[in-house]
Order: sequence, then C-alpha cells, then structure tokens
Amino acid sequence: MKILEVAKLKKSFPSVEGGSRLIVDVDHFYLNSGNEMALAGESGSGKTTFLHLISGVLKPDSGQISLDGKRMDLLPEAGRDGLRSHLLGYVFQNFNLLQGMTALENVELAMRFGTGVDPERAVSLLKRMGLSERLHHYPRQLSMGQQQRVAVARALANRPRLVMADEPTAHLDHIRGREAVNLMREVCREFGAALLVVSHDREVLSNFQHVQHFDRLNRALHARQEVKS
Amino acid sequence: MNTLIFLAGHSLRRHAMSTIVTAFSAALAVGLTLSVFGLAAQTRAAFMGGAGGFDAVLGARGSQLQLVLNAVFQLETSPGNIPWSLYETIKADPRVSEAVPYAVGDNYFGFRILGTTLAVRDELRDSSGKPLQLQEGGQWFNEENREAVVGSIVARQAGLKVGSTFRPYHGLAFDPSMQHEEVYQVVGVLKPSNTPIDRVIFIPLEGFYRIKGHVLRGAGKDFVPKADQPIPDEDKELSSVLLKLRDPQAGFNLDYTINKQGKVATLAWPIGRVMADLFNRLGWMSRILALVAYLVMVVAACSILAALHNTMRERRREFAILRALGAKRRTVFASVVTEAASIAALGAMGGYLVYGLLFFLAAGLVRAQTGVVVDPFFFHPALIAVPIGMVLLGALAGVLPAYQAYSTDVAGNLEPHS
Repeated sequence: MKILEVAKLKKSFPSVEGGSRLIVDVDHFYLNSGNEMALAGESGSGKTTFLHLISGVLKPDSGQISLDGKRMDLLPEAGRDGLRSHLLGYVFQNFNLLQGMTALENVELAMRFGTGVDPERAVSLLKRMGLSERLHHYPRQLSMGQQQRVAVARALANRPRLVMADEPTAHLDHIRGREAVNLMREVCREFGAALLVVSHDREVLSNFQHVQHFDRLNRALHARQEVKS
Repeated sequence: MNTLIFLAGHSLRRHAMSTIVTAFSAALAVGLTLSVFGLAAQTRAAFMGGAGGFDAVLGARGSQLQLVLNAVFQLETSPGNIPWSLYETIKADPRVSEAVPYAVGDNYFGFRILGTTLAVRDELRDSSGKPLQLQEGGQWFNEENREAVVGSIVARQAGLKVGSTFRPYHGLAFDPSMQHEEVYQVVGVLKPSNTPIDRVIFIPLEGFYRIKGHVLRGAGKDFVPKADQPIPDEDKELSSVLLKLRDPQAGFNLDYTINKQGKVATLAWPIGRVMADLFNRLGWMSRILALVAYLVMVVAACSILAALHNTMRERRREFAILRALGAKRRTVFASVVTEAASIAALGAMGGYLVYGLLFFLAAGLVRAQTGVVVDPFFFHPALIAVPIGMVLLGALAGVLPAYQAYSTDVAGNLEPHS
C-alpha cells in the first residue's frame, strides 16, 4: 500500500526578475508503507520545497499529493495542519528545536498538536535515542548529534506513518552522520514508519537500497538546465 | 487551553526581563486605578460614617460643613460660639435625646483640647459603634479637677500617659509662646477608637472656662472667670453641641426651626449628608483622577503591545516551527493573545500589591491627619473590575502581534530552500 503518492505536482515562486519561477515539477512519485527511500540531489534542486509540499506546509499550484490515501492538496490549510501532525514526522535540516524548551518538552510539544501529550512515551522515545541523561537539557546544552536525535524523537512522537528527513547529516561528521542515519532507519522500522531521506551526501545515500535522483525526478530542473545551455 | 498556557508560559519565561518590566508597568497601572476607586470610596465611607454616634451638630451661624469638620473631625476652625442658653434649650427639646457640649480653643502640641462634660464618656462611640474605652489604669476626669483624658494618638505622639502633666497652649495651632499656666494631669488614656477622637484631649468644661486668658462672651459682654466664684450660665459659651435625635423626623423639624426660621445658630444634619456634599463637590477631581488612571492602564496595555511586537521578528522561526509541527494558525494567534493577557494578569496580581502599599501609605496619612481609619477589608467593585479590565486590555494589546504571528510564512522561516 502506498503511504505517499505524488502526481503532476507543480510549484512556482515569484521570481526577482518578475513573473514566476517553476521550482518543482514532478510527474509521479510514490513510497510504499514501511519502506525507506533516499532522495538524492544537489543543493538548490528543490528537494526541500518538495518536502514542504508533501507535508502541506506549502500548497501546490497544481497536482495531487496523497498521504495514506488522503488528498493533501485538496485540504484547506487547517486540514493540512491536522494531517501533517497525525501522519507525518519531519526531521528538519537545522533540527528546528525550540530553544526555550527542554528535549522532553520539545517532544511533548509535537504531541500537543497530534495524538495528545503522553509523557511516558516521550521519555521512552528519548531513551530509545540514547538521551536518557539529557531529558531536561535545553538544545543549547546538547551536541549537534544529540539535537538531531531529539528531532528524530520529536518526529516519531505522534506515531507517524511517514518520517521525512531533510539533509539529516548536514551538521554532523561522517561517523556521527552514519550513526544518525542508521539510528533513524532502525527506529522507523521499529515503529513501522516509512522513511524518506533527502540528502546529497554519498555516504548517506550508500546506506539505502532504494535511491531516487531528484534531479531526474524534478522536470523543473531540466527546463532550467535547457534554458542555461 | 493547556497548550496555549504551555506556549505562553514558555515564552514568558524565555523573555523574562521583558515580561517582568511590562508586568510591572501593568501592576502600577492596576494599583493606581484600584487606589483611585477603592481608596477614594473607602475614605468617603470612613468620613461619612465617622460621626461618632451623633446625628447632628449645633453651632454658630455659618457653614454646616465647617461646623461638622470642626466638631466631628477636629479639622477646621469653629465658625463662632453659641450661648449656653441655646445648649440648655436644645438639651431640653423633646426631639433631642442627648446633647454633648464642646468648647475648643486650646491645644497641646497641635492636638486639640476639648472642654466638655462627662456626657462624652456615655455618648461618644468608636468606629465600631461601641462606647469609648479607657486603657488599663485610667479613669475619666473629675469635672471639678484639672484632669484630662487623652486620645490614643495623642498619648503616643505627645508622650502622655496616666500621671503625666501638661500645660495647654492657647489657640488651635501650636505656638510655643502661647502656653497657659494651668497644669493638667492625665488620668486616662483612651483605647484606639479609629475616629478623630484619637487625636483629642478631653478636659472638664468648667476647667476650660477657668484657664487664665479665656474670656467668655455668652452674655454679649466680656466675662473673665475668677477663682472661687461660680460662672453665671448666661456668660458661658460653647463652640458646638453634638446631638443625638430621637428620630429622623426630629431632624427635619429642627432643621426647619433652626436653619430656616432661626438666625442665631446652624444645625448640621445629618452629618453624613454634609460630608457627602463635600465629596460630591470634589467629584470632578475624582473623575479627573479616574481618567488619568484609565490612561495609565491604556499606556500599560500599549507597553505590552510594544514588548510583544518587538519580539515578533525574532520569533518568526519559532512560529514557523510550531506550524510545521501541526499547530493551526488560530492556535498560534491564540497563544500570543494568551501571552499578552498573561502579562496583564501578572500585572493585575502585582496591582493588588501596589494597591496594598498605596493603601497602607494613604491610610497612614489619613489616620495621622484626621484620626479616621479606612477599612482595609472594604469591598469596592473596582477591586474585581479593574484587574479584569487590565487582562482584557492586555489581550486586546496582543491582537496585533498575534496577527503577525498568525501571518508568519511557514516555509520561508523554517530554513532556506535547497
């Protein structure tokens, strides 16, 4: 069963020269439940915009996005917010932890917008991430690797069907990056969530059996390259 | 609701200094406004109910207000004297149940000396309506002796106690060069009555007349009392007579007889109404103070708005993260309004402390100046309405910053496009 399916998805942004600039143009893309996939692509290829569209943070200009069979693109903003909080876990490139909250509070915060606060589950998630000694530490008191593990725990807080990670190793060295991705894959398997990792790091990509090249998937990029040549 | 309180609480802690400063300004505003309404009403009530159990004051022809201030609150000078015969007439009037004569004109370090009879012992009441009580070891004066009973504030501030002696000073204002020769002995100190009586020294009326230098003009000619010679009633005079009336109808009748038909005296009745007239005349001042207080509350609300508005730019990422985690726009909006209302609520709570402090200072001042005690447990609707009003104003002040948070571009503030 497909947890995510995208068809004829287009998104443009206003261009500085006037008019609009097509950033994402994906004809078809899908991910099956419980599967994992890496999406490879260089910086500026529109990967983050693609994830924002899938998560409903951005609304597409046209096309379809189905999340667990539900049409994200047809929902109003409040509906997309609800679907995102219940079905999706998002690990941001910069982790995006709230600095004024402890690791535990960051995880509980995500629960507030989803399935409801469950302190025991929040603690067990952080313990699973190896952060049992850091529950009440603020992000500034944690290393980059620890912050990322908090972000993963937060992404899993609402028992999501799909976890998306945007450049998860961008702020980590190779060893810690590999550890982080392996941990993410492990816990997603444990919790039965599909995993979609976006990265341009070959080390990360080499861990995945199924790698799609976003440069080939995104036709907007081809059009831009044709204009350049 | 829990989420809103959780988010607002975190933000308040994160911006602790700004929260404290803004809440402090709201606290000052609330405290000031509570004082304007609450303290004014309490003072008014205390003065209107501070007649010591009497219904009316009889005195020389003149202002009723001056008469009440002089005879009841010991504040003004006497409008003049009335002859003893008037006292006897009013005392014998069937409409009057009790009449207590007062003669004033001397002081001790600024505290008024009242020449009177032992009727004060039986008729004067403290603020709770009970008869005046002496502190342990004291007794009331013998009307034949140079003895005095002093109020509690006089005893404390002038250092008088049972057995102390003192020499009165002539006039109502203290002038060291105007000391009389007569020596009075304190035979009793009153327990605090929480009325102007606490600032008074009672001495026998006869003794007051016989103080050297006092000239009596009750008969229209000067009469200087001589030792061992009785003072004819026709020469005696009084500053005022405090009256208890048998019923309200008696007040109407006496008011008509003395104030409208008569020309020699003034009856101030009822005492509460006379004081109410004074406060009503000063009503414009209360309204200006209330307006100033309202403006201060608006300024406090503006400071909440400014404090939140200044943080909105740096908090755009925070709002974007909340939205990305699934928070709805209205949740973000409501969290900022809750934050603004919480600052105002903190201010409202602090406002009670400020009010308590202002009350303590003002009540001390009123007590020191007049002897009147304002009731700290006096309830005024403003004590509830003003803090609620501040919280509502605070919430209103949060609407603009909340709209900014509401409008935050989520994708644009999470991280740069890759």
